[in-house]
Amino acid sequence: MENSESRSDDEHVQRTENMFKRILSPIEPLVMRIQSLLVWEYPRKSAVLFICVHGLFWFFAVKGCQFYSIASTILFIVYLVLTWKLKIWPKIYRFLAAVGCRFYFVVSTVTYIIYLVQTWKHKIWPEIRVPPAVPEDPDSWTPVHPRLLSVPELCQYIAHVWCSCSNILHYWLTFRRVYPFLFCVMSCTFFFILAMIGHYIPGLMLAYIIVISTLLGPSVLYHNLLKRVYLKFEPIFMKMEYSIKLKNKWSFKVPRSSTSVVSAAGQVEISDTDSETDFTPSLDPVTTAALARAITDSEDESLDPSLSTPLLSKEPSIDLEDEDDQERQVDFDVNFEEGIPEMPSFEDVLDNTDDELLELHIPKKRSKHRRQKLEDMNFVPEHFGDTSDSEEEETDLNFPSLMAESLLDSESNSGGDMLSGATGAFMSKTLSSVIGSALSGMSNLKPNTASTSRGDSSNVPSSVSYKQRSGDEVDFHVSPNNDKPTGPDHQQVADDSSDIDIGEEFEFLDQYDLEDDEK
Amino acid sequence: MPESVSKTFKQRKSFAVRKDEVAGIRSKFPTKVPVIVEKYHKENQLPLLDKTKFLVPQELTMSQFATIIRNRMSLNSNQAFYLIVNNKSISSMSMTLAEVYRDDKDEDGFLYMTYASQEMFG
Repeated sequence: MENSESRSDDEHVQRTENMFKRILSPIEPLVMRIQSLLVWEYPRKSAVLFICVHGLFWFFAVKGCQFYSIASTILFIVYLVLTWKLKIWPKIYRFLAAVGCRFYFVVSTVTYIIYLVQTWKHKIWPEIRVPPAVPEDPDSWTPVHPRLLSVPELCQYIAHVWCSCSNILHYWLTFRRVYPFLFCVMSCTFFFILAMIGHYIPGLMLAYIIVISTLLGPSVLYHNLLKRVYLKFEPIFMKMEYSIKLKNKWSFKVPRSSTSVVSAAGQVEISDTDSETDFTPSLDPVTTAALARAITDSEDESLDPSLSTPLLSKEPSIDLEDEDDQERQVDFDVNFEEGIPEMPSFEDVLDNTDDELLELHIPKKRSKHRRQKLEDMNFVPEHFGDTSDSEEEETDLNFPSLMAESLLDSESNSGGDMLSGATGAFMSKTLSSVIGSALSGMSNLKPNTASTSRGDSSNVPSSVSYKQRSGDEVDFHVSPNNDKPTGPDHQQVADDSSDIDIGEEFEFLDQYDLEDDEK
Repeated sequence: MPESVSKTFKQRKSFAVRKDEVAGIRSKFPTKVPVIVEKYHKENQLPLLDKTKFLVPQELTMSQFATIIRNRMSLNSNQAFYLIVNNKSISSMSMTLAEVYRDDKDEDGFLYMTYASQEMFG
């Protein structure tokens, strides 16, 4: 059924196409010329046409001319009518009266005459005439253009449009027959909309729009003007997009950096371990912007500094943080002595905000920074001996799990005597990570115990965790002055946190370091 | 009508007439190449082209011209089609019509091309 329908459709299209071809084929040069005029192939000619059309419009639009044009048109029509009535019609009338005809007679006579003329012209005359010495050209020259449509193609398009229009009309008529009421409503709506448009936009303006779009539309399509304009404006759009994106990013970054300054370094490490889930989403704006910029070849220089500055500006912020860390030592002591009851609320804030606010960058930078520090660090035997002595228990507890991570680490930790500088660095790093993880577990547990299940030390007071943090910092900076008081704290933490959790945390840290290396 | 079509362009017109025609059209459009495109006489797959005489811009390449002729016959992409220039050679598709005309034009001044189909997988 559908097949036959489509076939009949195709046949219909074919018939229409042939019909148009028959009409247009003899005048193909003219068609090509009109096309080239419409697409502004020769701008001078097209400009002349454009001016002519505007002149006509001006003639009809301007009021003074309107009078003359209407007057002359009316005079012309009157002349035609009078000529017809006084000269031509009486003759025909006399002839018809003489014949005594009716309407049908006139129609049939006219049709018959037309038929005869056509037959003579196309069938009889080519047969009976003497063949000319030089055979008549069956076809004229056909101009070929690489981009303009040739008549067969044009006919194809026209036929398609024609057929779809006739289909729509047919459908509409069927619709009217089947659903008269709906048809009435829809037609009324359609024409009401048209009337509204006609009411609010002057007729002259509408006519002008239509004519100008028919004049300029083909050329817009032919010269790909839309695409060209878009390409011209694309860098600007891109710039705008990036500036908006970066603005968002900046507004997002400012509170983050401030919180990182406010929060303790230990907290930063906590986020180091915790923010793995926030890792990818936080990177997204940067990555997408960079990728988009890489894809488009637009070279807007204004972007690059704004993109790179966040990364550059992070280093000084970390240095500041380090200074802050020193200050924080004092702050911690003061805070600790001043208001222990304030601690949980502080932690609350940190826990709720930090994990969300601290993006990847700062932890990453911190870890990088830390590594740098570790490299710079000289091994201090008594310092390490101190810590190792005080952490006998901890190593006993933890290193079985850490063995899986790295043999070197565990060995260097268990045998504190045979430590080289590098292993000392590893050791202190391990310790800092361990403590950080323990702290994170504790601090996560404290505000909302249900949310995390890291450490089982829910009964550890907040003060301890705070001291831990300071102790961690001390370890981190490897300042021997602050070293001694930290020993017991480490032990406590090691007691509190379980092996598996620390192992996990260690793994996380390692991953981060690796990612840093890749960067 | 069919008789005139079955004859080739050369058979239909005398040499002098053709030469005059070329001279006229070359003086009128010096940048265009007069090309006669006809169907190969043993070809039965491809439809007949509705026109024979084409005025082709000389900077057009052969591939562009072939595409135009294909579109004109509304060939499908699975129908093979090629053009033989002056009944003896298949020119390079990257050559311009001006080069082909310079190399292969007939003595009457026309450039004759014959189109035929090719059995691709036979």
